[in-house]
Amino acid sequence: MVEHPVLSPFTRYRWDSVREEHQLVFPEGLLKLNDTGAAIVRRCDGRSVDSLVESLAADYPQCRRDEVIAFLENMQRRGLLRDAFDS
Amino acid sequence: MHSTPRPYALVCELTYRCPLRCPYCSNPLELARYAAELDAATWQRVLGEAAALGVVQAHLSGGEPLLRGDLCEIVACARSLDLYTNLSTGATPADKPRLLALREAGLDALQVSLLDSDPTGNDRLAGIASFAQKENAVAIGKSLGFALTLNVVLHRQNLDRIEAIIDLAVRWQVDRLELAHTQYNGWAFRNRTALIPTREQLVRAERAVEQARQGSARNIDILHVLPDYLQSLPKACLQGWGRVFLTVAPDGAVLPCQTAREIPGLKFPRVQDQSLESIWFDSDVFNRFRGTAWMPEPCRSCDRREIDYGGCRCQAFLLTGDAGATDPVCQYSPDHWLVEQQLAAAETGDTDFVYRQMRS
Ligand code: SF4
Ligand code: SF4
Repeated sequence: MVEHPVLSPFTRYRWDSVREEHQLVFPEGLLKLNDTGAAIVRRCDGRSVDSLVESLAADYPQCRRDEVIAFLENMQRRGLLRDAFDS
Repeated sequence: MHSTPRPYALVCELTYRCPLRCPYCSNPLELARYAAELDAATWQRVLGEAAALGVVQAHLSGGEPLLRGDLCEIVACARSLDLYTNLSTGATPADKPRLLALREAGLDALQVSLLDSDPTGNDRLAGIASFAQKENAVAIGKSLGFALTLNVVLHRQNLDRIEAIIDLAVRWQVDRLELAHTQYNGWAFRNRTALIPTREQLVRAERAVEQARQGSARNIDILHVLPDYLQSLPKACLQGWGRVFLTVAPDGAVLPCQTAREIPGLKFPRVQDQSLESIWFDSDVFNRFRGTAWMPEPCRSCDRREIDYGGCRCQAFLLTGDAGATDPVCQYSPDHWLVEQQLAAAETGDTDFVYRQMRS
């Protein structure tokens, strides 16, 4: 599991104003995100997973730590995330 | 409002011109009929209409898109519309200044085609020396930070070198490797007997891909698209006609699929005459095979009708003469024997052993 998640360089977050949805776009397709997913992705800026979870809890108190980790792991499996300190 | 889904991906075929001569090229057979090309200003308008329609990704392809001197303007426009842009190239015109300019214009991803792991084999299939240029383009593309996909079309003539192809992808450090078997449209339909792999070849290839995924190539995302003719169920061609993709051809014709021109009797509206939105939602050609209402039996009452949408329309036409038939690749199609006949023809020169496997 990555410790300081950032989006991989080929992955782009965008707001689709036609469909009104959050998306992560990469060469072979895209992933729709719900509001919480988008909030997690916005925090993938190199901070640690702990501080990400903490900051998320402030805005989304219903969001559980294990759910956030599962979401990040899934993104990492798809090659959409990497660690900020990996070369 | 419309119940029709909005498209996600626009394929921009910027030109049919190409220095390569791949025997499986899906461009139209009568290239000279489509010599006129849209100018950059028209492409920019088309991209704007596409973004408003809901398109997220623009795939710039051809032919060889690098033959267009105005490519950077087109890329920059796509970027300014927040589209994710991907360029598919055969790489012969690619050099560092060119790729750098494209990166700066906002190009996201680069897809380089390769015909074979062996330079001589590659150059023979391409009909032109191109291996060295491809290797060079991959290295430059990597150094510029593009998402880099190596795309190798597989068929009978190169399938036995699949390990070497994967090794090359590892050595070149690409991010993705697309191993897609030939679709038997366009030139490939003409050459199909020489291109269809044997079952034995395919089994070996699948094993090699699996091993590489666990081992040497575990950092590469490998997509292995199996050949249609050797499957018992068809693929969801385009994820359904008029559902996700639309293609604008070099002359401005708007096609539901890049090879749809092979189906006679379809009229393709042009971006010069009509907006992309009205073409997508209202044109006859996009509605012709959209959804499930057009389907014949056995698709009409099949559980898979919203999974594979009855398969490929071009393939149905090429094999049966009826674009509205169930894809003959499907084991439930009354025309499935046509595919088996093709396979039997392709097994020529092989032993009874292979033949028997095919039948079992
Ligand atoms: S590179 Fe593409 S367009 Fe050019 S000949 Fe090969 S398949 Fe056709
Ligand atoms: S019958 Fe039609 S819908 Fe069913 S699997 Fe075959 S092609 Fe697909």
